[in-house]
Amino acid sequence: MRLKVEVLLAAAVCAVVTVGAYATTPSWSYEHPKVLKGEFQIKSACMMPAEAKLSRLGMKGKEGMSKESDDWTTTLANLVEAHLKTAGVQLLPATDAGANAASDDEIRQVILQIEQKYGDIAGKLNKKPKDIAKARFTLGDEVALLPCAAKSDVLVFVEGEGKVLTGGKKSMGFLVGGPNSASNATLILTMADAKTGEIIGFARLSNAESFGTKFVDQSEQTFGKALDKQFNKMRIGLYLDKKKH
Amino acid sequence: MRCRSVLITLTVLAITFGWTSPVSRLCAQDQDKAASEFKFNDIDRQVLEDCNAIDAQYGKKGLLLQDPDLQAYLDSVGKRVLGNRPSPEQVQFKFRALRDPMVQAFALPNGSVYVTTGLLSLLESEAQLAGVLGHETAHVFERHGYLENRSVRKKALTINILQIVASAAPVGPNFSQAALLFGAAVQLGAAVSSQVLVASIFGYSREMERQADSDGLKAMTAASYDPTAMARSFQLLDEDSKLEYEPFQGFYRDHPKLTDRRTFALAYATTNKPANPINGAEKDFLGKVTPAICADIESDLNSRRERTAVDRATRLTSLFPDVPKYQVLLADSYRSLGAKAKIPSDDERNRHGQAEHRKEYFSMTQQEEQKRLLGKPDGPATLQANRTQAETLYKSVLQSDPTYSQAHRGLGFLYEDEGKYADAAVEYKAYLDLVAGTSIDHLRIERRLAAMQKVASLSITH
Repeated sequence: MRLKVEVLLAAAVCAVVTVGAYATTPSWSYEHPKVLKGEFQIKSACMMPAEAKLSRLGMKGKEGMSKESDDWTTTLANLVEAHLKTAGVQLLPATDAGANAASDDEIRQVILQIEQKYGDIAGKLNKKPKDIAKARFTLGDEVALLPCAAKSDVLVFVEGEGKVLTGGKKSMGFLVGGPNSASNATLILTMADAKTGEIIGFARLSNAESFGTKFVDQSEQTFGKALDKQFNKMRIGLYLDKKKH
Repeated sequence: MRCRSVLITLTVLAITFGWTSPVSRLCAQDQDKAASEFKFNDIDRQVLEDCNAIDAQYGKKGLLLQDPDLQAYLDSVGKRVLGNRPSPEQVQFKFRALRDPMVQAFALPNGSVYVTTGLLSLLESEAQLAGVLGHETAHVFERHGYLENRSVRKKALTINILQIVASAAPVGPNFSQAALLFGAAVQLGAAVSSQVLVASIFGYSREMERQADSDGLKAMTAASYDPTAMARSFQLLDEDSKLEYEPFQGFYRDHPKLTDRRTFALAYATTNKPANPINGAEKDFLGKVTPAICADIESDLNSRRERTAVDRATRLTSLFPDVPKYQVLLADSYRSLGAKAKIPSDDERNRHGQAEHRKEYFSMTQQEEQKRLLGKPDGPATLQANRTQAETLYKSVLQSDPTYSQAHRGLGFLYEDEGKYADAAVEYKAYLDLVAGTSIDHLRIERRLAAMQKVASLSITH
C-alpha cells in the first residue's frame, strides 16, 4: 500500500514538472536604468539579421540541422518582429539603404563589422548581463554606419539556439539524467542604442520540453507570451505609455 | 584486501579494453579504407547537405571576399595544384577567400576550399599558398570529412553506452561491499574508457592531418612548386601564434605540432624537389592578395587583434611605401593599439602570462583592457608612442595628398581621443567637405562633430 502511494506521488510530480516545462518559458531581462525610467524610449528599431542554430543530439553525437536552422531563423525573426509591431514599434531591416547611396555590399560589410563587435562582447554580456546597468557594454558609434540606424532608436539582435534530442538520447537522459535529457531552445534578444552603440537591453527566454520538437514548429506558443512580458518590463513602445497611465 | 585490489584493477582493465578495442578496430578499418572504395550512406548525404548549406550561408552573410582578380588568382593556383586528377563523386572544387581574421584554411567534403583573409595576409609566396591548397584538397580527395564523421559517431555511441552501463552500476547502502566495489570498478572503467575514446577522436584527426600534409606536399611538388615553402608556412604559423593570445587552447589538439610538421616537410623537400621549383617573390604575391590583406586588417581591428593589424599593415607599407591607403591602415592600427605594445613582452609570452591574458580577454571589454594597460608603469608612454606614430603617418599621407579624406578622418579620431577637440573638429570638417555626403560614415562623423562643438561651446560658456 505504502509503495503504491509513493509511486502515485512520483507520477504526480513527474506530471507537474512535464506540464510546467510545456506551459512556461522562463525568461529574464536586464535593462539600462534610463530605459526603465522612460528617459530612453524605444519606438523604432533596426532589425539585424537573425541567427538561429539547431542541432540534433543523438546517441551517435551531434548532427547539424542546416535546413531546420534556416527555417527557425526566419520563424524567430518573424516572431520578434510581429511582437515588436504589436508593441507599436516601427521596424526597419538592417539591409535597408534608405536615402543613403550605400551599395548592398557596403551595407553587408557594415553589418558584418557590427556583428564582429557584437561577437566580442556577446560572451561577457551573457555572463554578466546585470552590468548593462553600469553601461559596461558598447558596440561603439560605428553603429551609425548602418543607414537604418539614422531612423531608429535601437538595433535589435535576435539569436536562437536549440537542441533537439532523438528518441534514443531522450531514453538515455531518462536513465542517466544530466543536462541533455530534454530538447531545449533559447531565444536571446539584445538591444543597442542606434546612436551610441551602448547596449541598453538584454532578454533571455529558455524553454525545455520533453516530447517532440514543438519549440521549432510552434515558436509563438513557446516564446510569444514571454516576449510580451519582457517587452512590457523593458517598457518598449506602447508599454511605456501604458505604464504612464 | 590485496586480492580485492587486484580484482578491481582487472575489472577496470577488462571493461576499458573490452569496450574500446572493438570500436578502435572499427575506426581503424575506416581509416585504412582507400578513398576510392568510399560509398555514400545516408549520414554522408546529410553531411553533404550541411556543407552546401554552409556555402550558401557564407555567401548570404557577405563573408566571401568578392574581388574578381583575387578570385581568378586563387582559382589559377588551385587548378594548378589539382593538376589533371579527376574530382571524386559529389565534389566540385571551389577556392574562396573568407573574411575571417583567424589564421586558418579548411575544406568542406563537397570540395569548397576556404582560405581566410587572416591566413592570406600571413603567407609570403605563391608556393606557400599552393601548399595550403594542396593540404586542403587532400582532405577532400581522401574523404576525411566523411570518414571522421563516421568514426566520431561510432565513438560517441560507445561513450553513451558506457554512461548507461555506469549509471546502472550498484551504488548505495543496500548493496554488499563486493557489489559496491564492482560498481565502483564499472564506473571507473566507463570514465577511463570514455576518456580513451575522446583522445582517440583527436588522434584520428591528427593522423588525417599528417596524411593531408604528405599528399599536399606531393600535389604541390607535382605542380612544380617548391615543397620547402610548406615548411616555411608552418614556421610562419608558429611565429604568428605568439602575436595574439589564442582564444582557445584545448587539452587535446586535433593537429600535429607545427614543429613536427615542419620537420616532416623539410625532410620531404630534401629528396623531392622539382627541377626548376616555383616559389614566387613576396612582392608579387602580396600584390595579388592585397584586397584580402586590407580586409583582414579591418577585421583585425574589429576583433581586438590590433597587434596583428600593425604587423600586416607594416608588411604592406614596407613593400609598397607609396600607397596612401596602406599608410592610413597602418596609422589606424597604431591608433587602435592604444596603450598596448605592438609586440608582446616576455612576461606576456610565457605560459602563465598567456593564460592570464586569455582570461582577461574573455572577461574584459576593450575599454576595460585599455584602462588596465594605462594603469601599468609603461602604459602612458606606450600610448603616447603609438599616437605619435599614427599622427606621423596620417600627416605624411596628407603632405603628399592633402585631399586624402581617410587621413583627415583618422586624424580627427586621434585628436578627439587626445582631447584636442578644436583640432579634431578641423579634421572632421575637412573630411566631410571632401566626401560631400557620399561616404557611408558621414552621419557618424557629423554626430561626433556636433558633440564636440557642444562640448566646446559649453567650455566657452563656463
